[in-house]
Amino acid sequence: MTRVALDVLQESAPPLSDGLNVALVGNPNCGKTTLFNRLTGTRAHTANIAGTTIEQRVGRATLTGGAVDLVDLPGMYSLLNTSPDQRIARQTLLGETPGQRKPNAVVLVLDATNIQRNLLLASQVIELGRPTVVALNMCDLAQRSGIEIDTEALSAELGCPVVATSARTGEGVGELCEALTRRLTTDETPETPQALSECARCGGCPIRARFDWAERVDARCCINEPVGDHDRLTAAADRVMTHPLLGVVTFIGIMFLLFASIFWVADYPSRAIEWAFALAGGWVWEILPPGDMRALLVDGVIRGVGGVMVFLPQICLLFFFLSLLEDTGYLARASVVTDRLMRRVGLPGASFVPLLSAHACAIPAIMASRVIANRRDRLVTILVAPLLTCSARLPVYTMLTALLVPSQPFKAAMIFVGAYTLGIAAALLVALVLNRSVLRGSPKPLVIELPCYKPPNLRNAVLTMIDRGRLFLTKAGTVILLVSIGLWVTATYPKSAPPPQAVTMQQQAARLQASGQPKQADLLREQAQALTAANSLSNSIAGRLGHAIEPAIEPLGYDWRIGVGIVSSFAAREVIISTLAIFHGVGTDNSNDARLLESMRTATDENGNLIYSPATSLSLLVFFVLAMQCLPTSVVARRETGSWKWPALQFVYMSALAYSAAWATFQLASYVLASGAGV
Amino acid sequence: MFWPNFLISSPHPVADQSAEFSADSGKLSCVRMDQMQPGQCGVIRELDLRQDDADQLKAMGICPGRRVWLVRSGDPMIVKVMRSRVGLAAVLAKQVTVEMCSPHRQPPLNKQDAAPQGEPQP
Repeated sequence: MTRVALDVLQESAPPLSDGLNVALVGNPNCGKTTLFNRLTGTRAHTANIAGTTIEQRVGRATLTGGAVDLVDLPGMYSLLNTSPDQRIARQTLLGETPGQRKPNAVVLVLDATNIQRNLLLASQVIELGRPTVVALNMCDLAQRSGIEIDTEALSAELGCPVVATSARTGEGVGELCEALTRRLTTDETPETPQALSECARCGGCPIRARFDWAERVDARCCINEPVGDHDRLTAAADRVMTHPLLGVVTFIGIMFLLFASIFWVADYPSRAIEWAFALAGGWVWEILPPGDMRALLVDGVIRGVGGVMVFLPQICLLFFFLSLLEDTGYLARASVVTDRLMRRVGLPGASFVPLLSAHACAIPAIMASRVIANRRDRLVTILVAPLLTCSARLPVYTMLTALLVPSQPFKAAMIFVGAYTLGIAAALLVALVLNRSVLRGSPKPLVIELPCYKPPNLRNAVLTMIDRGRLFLTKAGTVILLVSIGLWVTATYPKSAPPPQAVTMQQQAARLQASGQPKQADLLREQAQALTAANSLSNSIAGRLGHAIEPAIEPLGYDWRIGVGIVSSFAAREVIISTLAIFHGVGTDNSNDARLLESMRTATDENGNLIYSPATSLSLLVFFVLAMQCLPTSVVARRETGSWKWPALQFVYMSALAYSAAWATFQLASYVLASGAGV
Repeated sequence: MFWPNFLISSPHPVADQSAEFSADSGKLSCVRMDQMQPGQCGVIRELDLRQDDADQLKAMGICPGRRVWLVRSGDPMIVKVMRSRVGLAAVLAKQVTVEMCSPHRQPPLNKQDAAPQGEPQP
C-alpha cells in the first residue's frame, strides 16, 4: 500500500535540492531508531557529535523528491539545559553546535500509545521554531490497545503536519516522506501555536505547565481511550520479570540462554575465519621468498588480523541478541533486577549492559560504557570490565582444563563455571573497594522507563550488529593489529644462530636424505626446526623478558617458558598457546592441540620436575582469570577515559590481584596435593 | 513470603489506606512516594531533589500535578505515570511528596473516568 502511494507521489513531488539535512528527535522507546533504519537502511553509521562522546546515527534517506542526510539524535525526554546531552541536542537542532550542520527540518517522533508524556518534548522542539513534521509513531500498537487519535486536531494544536506512522510495519512512512519533502520545499517560517507559547512564558514550574498543556491537547485529540488496562500483558509479565526472586531467576535463565546461543552459533564462523586465515598465511608463506618480510607478513600481519577477526562473530552476535532483548523491552527490566544487586557494590544499573558485553570482549564493553552519563559510574565500570571472562581467555581455559582433568567433561565444566564466577566475584569486589577508596560516592540512582513488551525487530538487530561490528573493527582492530606486530618484533629480534644441536641434526638429515631415507630425514629436519624456533624465541626480547621475570613468577609455580608465554599474551591472551607450542616442539600449527597437550603433560624443566603440575596449571588459570594482559584494552580505556591514569591503575591493580591470587592458589594447591599424595 | 503474594496480587489491589487517609475530615493527606502501597494512586506535589535529578524525573512524568500509581514497591520501585511505567530508586522516591487520591479510586478505566473532577486541587 505504501509503495503505491509513494509511486504516485514521486510524480507530483517537487525535486529537493542537494545537501539537505534532517534531524530525527524523540523520546527513548518511541520507535525512532526503527523509523531511522527504515528510512536509511544500511546506508548509516554511528558517529560522535563533534567534540562530545554523545553518539548519533547518521545516514542518507531517499525521499520522494531526492535524498537527504538524516541524523538520529539520541532519545531524550526533554530539552532542558540542566543535562549536557539535552543541551547539545538543543544546540544541534538550532545549528549552534560547532562542526554540526544546521538541520533544514526536524522530524519529531511521538509515541501514539503515550502521547501525553511525549508532548513535553514536542512542546520544547516546536518552540525552537524549526520547520517540523510530526511522525505519530507506533500507530499499530495504539490501535490494538484501543487508542484513537485525531491527527488533524493534533496537527492544529501543534502547528505542524502530523502523519500517523508505524515504523515497524512501514505504514504511513511514504506519507511521512511526502510531508517532509513538502516541508523542505516551502520556505514559510513555522508559527508556534499560541497556547504553547503561553505555557513557555508562564512562571512557576515550566515542566508542569507543559504537562498541563499536554493533558488538554490529549483530551482534545484522543477520540477513544482504551477500556481497562491497555497493557495488561505487560503488567502480567512484569509481575514475574521484576519480582525480587522470580525476576532474578528469569534473568539468570535468559542470560544463560543468551551466552549459550552466542557461543554455540559463533563457533562456526569463528572456526571458518581461523581456517581462512591459516590458509591465507600458508599461501603467502609458499609464494614469498624466505626472509624477515615473509615472517612479518605471516606471523605479524596475517595472524594479527586473524586474531581480531576471530572475535568478530561473538561481538556481532552479542549485539544482535542485545538489540533483540532491548526491542522486546526486557533489557530495562534486567536493569531493575540487577540494580538491586549491583548498587550494593557501588555499580549503577546502567553498567549492566557494558558488563554483560565484557563477557565477549572488554573493548566493546568499554566503548559501550559511554551510555553511562555519570563520570564516577563510568570509570568504575571501565575499571572492572576486563575482570569478566572474555572470549580470548576461553582457549587458555580450555588448554588448562585439559591439562588438569583430561577427558572428564563434568569436572572440566565445573572448572569453567568456577573461572567465570571468580571473574564476576572479583569485579564486584573491586567495584566495592573502588567505591570505598579512589572513586568515593554512590552510583547515580536508577530512573528507567519500562516500555511495553513487544515483538523484537529483526531489521534493527541486524543493523545494530553491522554497526557495532564495524565500530569494533575500525576502532579496536587497528590497535590490536599494531600491538600484535609489535609483539611479533619482540619475539623475533634479536636474531640468534641455530643451536649446535640443530645444526648437527640438519647435517644428519642431509645424510639420511642422501642414503635414501627421506621419511626419517623429514622427521629429523622437523625436530631441528622446532629446536631452532624454541632457541630463537628464547633469545629474543620476549624470551629474555621471560628469563628476567622468572624469579618473580617462580613463587607462582611458573618457569621461564610460561613467563615468555605471559609476556607474549599481551597482544591477546590466547597467544600464550602458540608461544608454548613453540617451546614444546609442536611448532606454530594450531591444529595440533592433542599433540601440544601430550607434550605439555610430560614436559619437565632442567631439574626434571613437571612444568605443568596440577598446582601450576591451577595457578595459571587463576592468573589468566584476573590478569590484565591485553594492551588493546588499555589503549581503548585510555581513549575513553581521556588519560593514561585510569588504564595504569587498572593494569597495576589487576596485575597485583592476579599475582597474589595465583600465588595463594599455587601454595594452597601444592600443600593440598602434597598432603593428599602423602595419605 | 514471596509466593502467596505473587500469586494473589492483582494489578491494583485495594490496600489499607488508614494511615494515609483521614476519613473523617475528608481531607487528603500527603505521603512520601516510597510509602505508597502497590495499587495506590497519588498526585505528585513536590520534588525535593537536586536540580538535575528533579528535572530528569519531571521530564519522565514524575512532575507536580501528575498522577502516579505504585505498581511494585521495593528498591527500585515501579510506578505508573501517564501511560508509562518507570523503575525508580527509593532514594529518589523518598524525596517526592505525593497527595493520596481517594482510596476507592481505581486507575481510569475510560475517558469519562479520567476527567479531572475527582482530582484534588492544589
